[in-house]
Amino acid sequence: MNDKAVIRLRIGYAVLALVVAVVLATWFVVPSGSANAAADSFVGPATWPRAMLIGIALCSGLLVLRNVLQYAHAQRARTLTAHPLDEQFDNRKAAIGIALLTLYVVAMPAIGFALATVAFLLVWLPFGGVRKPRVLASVAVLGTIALLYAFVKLTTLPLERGTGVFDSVTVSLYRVLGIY
Amino acid sequence: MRRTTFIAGMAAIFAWCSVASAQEKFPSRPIDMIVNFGPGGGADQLGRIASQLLERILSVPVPVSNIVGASGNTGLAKVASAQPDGYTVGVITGLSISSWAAGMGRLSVNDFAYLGVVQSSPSMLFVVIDSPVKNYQQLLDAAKASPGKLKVATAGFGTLDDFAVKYLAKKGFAMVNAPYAKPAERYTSILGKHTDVLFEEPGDVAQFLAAKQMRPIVVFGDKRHPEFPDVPASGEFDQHVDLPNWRALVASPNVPKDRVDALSAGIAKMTDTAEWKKFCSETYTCITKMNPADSKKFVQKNYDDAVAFLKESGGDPKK
Amino acid sequence: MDALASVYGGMMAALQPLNLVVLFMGLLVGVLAGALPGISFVNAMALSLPFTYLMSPLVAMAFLGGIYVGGVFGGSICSILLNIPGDPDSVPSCWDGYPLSKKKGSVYALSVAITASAIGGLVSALILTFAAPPFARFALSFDQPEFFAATLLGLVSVLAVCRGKLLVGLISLFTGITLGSVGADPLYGVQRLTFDVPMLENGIDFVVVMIGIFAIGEVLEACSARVGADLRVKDSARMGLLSLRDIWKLRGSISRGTGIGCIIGTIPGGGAAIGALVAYGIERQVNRQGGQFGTGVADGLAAPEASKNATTGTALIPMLTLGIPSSAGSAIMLAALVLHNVQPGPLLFTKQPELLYTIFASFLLANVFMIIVSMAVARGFGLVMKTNPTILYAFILVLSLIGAFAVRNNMADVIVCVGFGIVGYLMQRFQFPTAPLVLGVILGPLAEGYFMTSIANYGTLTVFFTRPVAAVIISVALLFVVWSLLPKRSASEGPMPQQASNG
Repeated sequence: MNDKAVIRLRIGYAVLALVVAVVLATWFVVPSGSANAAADSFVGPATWPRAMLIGIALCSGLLVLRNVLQYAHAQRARTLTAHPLDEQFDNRKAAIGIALLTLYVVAMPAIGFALATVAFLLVWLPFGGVRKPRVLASVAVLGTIALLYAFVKLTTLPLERGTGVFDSVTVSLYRVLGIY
Repeated sequence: MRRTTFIAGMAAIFAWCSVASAQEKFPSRPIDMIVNFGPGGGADQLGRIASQLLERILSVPVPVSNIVGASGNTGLAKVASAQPDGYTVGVITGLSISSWAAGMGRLSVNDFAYLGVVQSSPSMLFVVIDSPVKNYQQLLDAAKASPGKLKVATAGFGTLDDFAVKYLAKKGFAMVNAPYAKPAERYTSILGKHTDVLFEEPGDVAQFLAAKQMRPIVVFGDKRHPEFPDVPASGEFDQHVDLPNWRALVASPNVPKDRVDALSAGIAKMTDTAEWKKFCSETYTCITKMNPADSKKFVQKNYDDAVAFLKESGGDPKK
Repeated sequence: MDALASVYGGMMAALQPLNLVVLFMGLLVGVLAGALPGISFVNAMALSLPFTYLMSPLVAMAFLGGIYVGGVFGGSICSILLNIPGDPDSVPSCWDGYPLSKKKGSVYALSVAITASAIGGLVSALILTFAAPPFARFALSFDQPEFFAATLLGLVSVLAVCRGKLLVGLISLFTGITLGSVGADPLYGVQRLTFDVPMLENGIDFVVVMIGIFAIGEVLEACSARVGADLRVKDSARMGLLSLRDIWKLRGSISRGTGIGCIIGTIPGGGAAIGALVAYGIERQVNRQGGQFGTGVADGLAAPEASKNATTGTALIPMLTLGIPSSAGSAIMLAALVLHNVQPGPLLFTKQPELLYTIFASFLLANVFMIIVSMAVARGFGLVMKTNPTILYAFILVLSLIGAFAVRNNMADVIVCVGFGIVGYLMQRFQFPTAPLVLGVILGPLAEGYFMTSIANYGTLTVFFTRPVAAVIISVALLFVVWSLLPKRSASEGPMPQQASNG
């Protein structure tokens, strides 16, 4: 990615930030029709966030200015350093990681922490290169059980048990393990 | 062949689980106690003592979790939406009810099954021990003479405390509401003489009373408090407001009646124990027992009073 | 002297075998909880409360005190070895701690940390033991304007890490503060920036943001790096105390950090996080090598380390003398005392002095034994980190989600956490500073609350300049801003540090 493209991208992001900040500050800070008369006074709920958003808008504006000036210079002066990071990140792996995490979090309230965690580990570990079935199974199952003992039994943290039939399954599982 | 056995097995397990859970004796596993305020406060103390005593009475663990936020509404929302199997109970206080009256949150009185109101104490005004204000009459005179000068340390805007300050202002005794959401900072403010008066319930400042660092100057209500016979009631000054600070235990509304009864019976037994009696007397909150039906009536009345009070002090209540 | 006699008596009582065992257990739980990313020591203390029911008040205080002291330090282990802060107060420790461990080995970095922490903690415990009442009077003189000034100083100190990227750093900071204001406002309870989404109505908790951006973000980054990021610890993560000569070299940062921590610990609303942050910021301005902070300067690690442990002892002062907790950790210890029918306050000094002095003695011992316990845990950590990175990351992720859940027992926080994990990864990808955002979420709501309440109480903006203490602190903060706008003295600013130490 060459320098001029980088600067154009930066300008784009800065303008976006500016616009979003201004829009939020004007309309979305407090719900409209807020019955509280104090909402518009100085000592009110909107002041601080609005001030912060205005700050963002100002800084974004200054960034736009600075980058525009740099752009002008870039056309005649020496090159800036290129974006080094593009070579360093593997988008595919990151996307898979994000997808797996998202599925895990969605699954947790549905099927309960215990089942979701075992499932997550069973999928994540092979992707990371842990493929031997015995290692896989023992880490996933024993690891989850250890966590259950530590958190649900010892510290009585009410981790999700899932809904409906999965709730009952988790409760029975806890009973079998001696947690309940 | 192996796969079908596996599936049949799983199906059988699922079926057994669902049936088994419906027929068990209640309670047969831990009951989650949700306290909707932070550790150390009045609601938390109630939750923890109740959890200890109920564990003994009901023979199952009763682990406490603090789920804080939005004047207690976050924790209450969790109780209201919990599985209606009786294994989730929570603490509810007058603070949250007043917040509903002020339009906060999406909950209402009918969103809970009431297991019993277990604590109540009146609101009072306190001053630091060497304050120039010696009694309530002096406070009222000073407020009338210099309106907007005296500062009342309260729990914030939109609370019962706020309504009281506004009510007094309407009656001609204008004082400034100095909001301190955190009790620690509120008490520091009065002890450090940054504010003039403190709005609180006696139990929350018991240690300062015992150490003779603060003293009460008025009780809000029509009757004097038996523990403080020399402190006048606001009714004696023609200020007829009743601002009780109460706490109750609740469960989600669709819990089967037999389980609600089992829980409230346990709670009734709890209030008979010596430990409970010691706790409530030290926090000035002992009351006569209330069964679920009376408890719900009490809470409803409290809500209606809060709405009326808010209107009277010039606020803008939710219908 | 009376006090010394009482301390001796307290020490004898504190050295009883049962007390010692419980103290060690508490330290172990604390250091572990702090060291594990996702679980904070405040969580651990709250979760341990029920266990204290069966203990006598003394033993309960030894246990919780151990968790508190150990926990405040524990987060540093993770910060230094993994660049993932185990706790909000360990965030500044990442900035120079992690690069230092890469430059000079984790043994040296960990040793700097534990030495500084032990010194800070001990001084604080000594102040607690011998100077509690005057310190308490000092704490009472602070009101909202002073709290605002301290928080402002903390916020400005964050910018200290943004060398050369001030505008982007400011955007990050303002964004963090804006995120912190989502939900009900502290004074009126009006919903802000929630777009009618129920999940946002409880606000965005800073621990959740921290875990998301730093822990999950770090794991995602490591997973996706083409050039295999080797998380494995190459040397043995052994640590010990620094030699006296080495301590002498760091005497400036350690003393400054200790002083700052002791003062901030006493202020209600202060706490280890603000203490560490302000100490780092001030050290960076004052130290000869300030311009190179972020590349692994030992002073940059020693200052926040000393400061955060220095907040623990003095935090107990208002709690024990007035019954007013000044930090989350001391609030839980207060709850435990109340549960045991011990009312902290002036009466405690007159009615139960033996209990008090035993608590003081336990606290002193805790700061000493913390060294041993931390060494053991760090060793264990080093061993664990030699396992397969995939397994390590997987469990860091799961623990992080458990930690996010444990904050408010709320599933919504877990979703928000993963969301911020993705945001953190993207921010790193685009070299956008992450620390100001996280610290903005932590300190923003505090600053706003104090600011608004000050104006509500005092009616005018000038109060910040008429009250002497507030005025002094605000002036220091303004000086910081000016200092960071000026061109730096040292020509080379060093390479941009990674992740949590991100500029």
